[in-house]
Amino acid sequence: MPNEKKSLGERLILPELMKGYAVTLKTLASKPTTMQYPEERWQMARRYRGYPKLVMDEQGDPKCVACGLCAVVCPPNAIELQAGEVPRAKERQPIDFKIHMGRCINCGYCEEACPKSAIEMSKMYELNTTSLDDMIYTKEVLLQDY
Amino acid sequence: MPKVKIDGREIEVPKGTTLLQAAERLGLEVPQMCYHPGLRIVGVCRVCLCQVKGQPKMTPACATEVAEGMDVGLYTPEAEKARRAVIEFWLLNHPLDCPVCDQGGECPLQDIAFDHGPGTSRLADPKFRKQKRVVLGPHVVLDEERCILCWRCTRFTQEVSGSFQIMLRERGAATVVGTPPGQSLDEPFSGNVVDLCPVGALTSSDFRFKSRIWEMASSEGVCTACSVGCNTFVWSKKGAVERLTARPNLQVNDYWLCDRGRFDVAFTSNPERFRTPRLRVNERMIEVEWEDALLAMAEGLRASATRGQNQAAALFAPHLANEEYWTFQKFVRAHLGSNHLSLGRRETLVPSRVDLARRGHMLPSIADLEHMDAIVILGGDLELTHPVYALRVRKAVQERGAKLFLATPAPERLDPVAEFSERVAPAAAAEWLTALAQKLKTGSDHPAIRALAGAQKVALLVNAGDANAEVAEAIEAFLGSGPKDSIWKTLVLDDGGNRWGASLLGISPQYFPGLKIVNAEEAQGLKTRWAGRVSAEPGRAWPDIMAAAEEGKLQALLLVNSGRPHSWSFTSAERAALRRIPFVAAFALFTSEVAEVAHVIIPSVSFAELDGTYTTADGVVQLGRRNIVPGGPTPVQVLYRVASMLGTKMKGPDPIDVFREIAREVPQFAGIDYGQASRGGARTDKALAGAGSR
Repeated sequence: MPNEKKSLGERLILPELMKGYAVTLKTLASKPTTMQYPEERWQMARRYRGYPKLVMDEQGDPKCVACGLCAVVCPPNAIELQAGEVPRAKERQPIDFKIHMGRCINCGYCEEACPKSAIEMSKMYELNTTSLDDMIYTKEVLLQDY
Repeated sequence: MPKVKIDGREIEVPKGTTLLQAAERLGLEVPQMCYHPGLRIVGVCRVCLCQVKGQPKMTPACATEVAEGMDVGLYTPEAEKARRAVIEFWLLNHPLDCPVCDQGGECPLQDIAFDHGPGTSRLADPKFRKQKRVVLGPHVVLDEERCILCWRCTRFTQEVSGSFQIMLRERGAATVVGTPPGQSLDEPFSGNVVDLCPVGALTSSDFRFKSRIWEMASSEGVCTACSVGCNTFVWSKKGAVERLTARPNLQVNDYWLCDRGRFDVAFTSNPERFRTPRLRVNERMIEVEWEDALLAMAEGLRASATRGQNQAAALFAPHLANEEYWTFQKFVRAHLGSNHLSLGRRETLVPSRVDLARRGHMLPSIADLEHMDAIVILGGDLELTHPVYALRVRKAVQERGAKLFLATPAPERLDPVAEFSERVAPAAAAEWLTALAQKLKTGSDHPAIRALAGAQKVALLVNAGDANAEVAEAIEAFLGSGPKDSIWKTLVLDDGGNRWGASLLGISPQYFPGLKIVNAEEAQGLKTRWAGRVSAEPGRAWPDIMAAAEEGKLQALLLVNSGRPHSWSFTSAERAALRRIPFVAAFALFTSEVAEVAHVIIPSVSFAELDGTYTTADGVVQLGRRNIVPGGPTPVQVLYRVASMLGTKMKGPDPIDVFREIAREVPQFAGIDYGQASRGGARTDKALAGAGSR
């Protein structure tokens, strides 16, 4: 604050400098709080919303039945999918499922809209790529564990 | 007229009205499932149950006629309770797989269960499991679990299409719909049961799992597969037409579509459809920029546009929009100075049809069939050429008691309901009709013919592709043989989606627009109006155009197709003749249509990519809306560009402007605008067809 008048001690500098050294000395001995990212990572809270991913069922098929509710509820229109018929009991599956992670705003609406719990918000938050195209996650990528 | 009180509101309705109709007239929403205006009433779904004062039990509103002084409770607590119970029964064995189900989003079961249902189920036991994927026929797949037994599909095949190909099997909760043993649902109207099914039990194999309802854009279209002009909803997603559904129009197609029109949509997104113009360079077709193609077209037409008359010709597919026909014929007449305009190889009945119309012999509307005492059909099988008209005929016979007389070349599905049916070869049609007229006059032993002779209202449908003057004479003789003061009318059916519209708009060598005969006087009038060089000489029809090409008399040829694929079916001799023309420009959806003969091929648009009106066989002008933005200019826009390159200005290429010009210049279209054409259609040639009879 430029208008605030400084006290004599502050104007002499030296006592303040000593105070600073005292803090340094005190913390030198204690455990550091800085996390060594990326070697160390946060344990995310249970309700943390990272980027969405698709869930598999016990048979290893996507739980998704391609009803399209996630796509229609998605505020930034990041989800695009195409349904197709499969010769199984479930009949319907996405033959194509794409999420543009660059558009995703991590709102979690897709997870909330899904009637089959087939899409959920992962804990993943790292999206650094060298190309925008890499941000479009295909079905195969979305089904991986991340 | 009885007065009823529904939920405290009084209304007076004509006798015979049902409670459901009365309530809807009051603006009340009545939950309904099995009720369909195009089918007979059965009252099996029970969701429209209501309480009538003085009656101990609930009564279905759809199946109860109003009576004087009825006091009806539609939303009383008791009625709602009964409805809740009905809905709980429906959902007992319903799989509730809405996320998977194609009907999700347009499902009355969803809506009704949400609005009136109990919200929970008390069923503790497992649900009945049934077949999930039963292929009923080439177009329809059944999911037995989802069916709630409304009988709409069975009633359709029994009452409307007459195929009896869907029935109910088993009893109680095990009841399923299916085809009779050893049969499949292969009738020509099977797609309608998919439209009718209120739940997702009957699905179309073409559309199954392809798209959710809310992902598609729908618009009002008109089918151009034949000249019935069925009203459709066109549903598209990402630039591809996904499905067509029927749009009710009681004057044209009732509630139905035929499978031929309904399922012929895959071409719109066929990867083989070409999107960039092609130019022939050194006998090879290469892709070029639009600008280059248009320049090449202008160059190719310049010779015939500047000197000489009748040196250019244009051949048209029979399913273009009115606006396209008008623009092209005006361009060819006014700028190329030629009357060589042909709709195809076949000789049309246009001259005689005009005469018949002038004398007031034409059936004003196909819907009038329902008021006829007798219907006579001469020529090909309606179900093959004009399928939805066959449904109208069947309705007139089965529901209204008209007598049907068939004179067709081959056995057909209408035979069982016909009073009289005979096999008549197309070539003998005129002879047969003349003989019948003779018999009607002199009297006959045949009881059916005696009945026909005494009929007051008779409609003659002539479905003869090669009908000629001889047939027209026979028609005249037949119509004259009715009793005194009777109403005997005829309707001559054309093939192609818009052949009658094309004829009215002057796609004919002998007629200017408005069916005015080509002569010096008319040509002079058009010359001044269009500021062009209109020829006063009648043009050539298809065979003569080919002959002129063979002799090297033609400088340029336009082959015009748009809307849907078209096979020109040139013979090898004709193809050789066409190759002698110095310049052939073609508008096509697929290069294969014209690849061998054209010098420039311009991609044209599909029916879903164009605002345009179409004229039905009975003369109704209907507007089909654009659903998909085309990837390039439409044929009409191309023509305007080419015309301006040739140094002439035509009036703006917007379809609505073109149609305004049509309404101004063609008497049959006078007074029609896009508003009327989109609201159920507007009638052409009111003066000719004798509008007084309606």
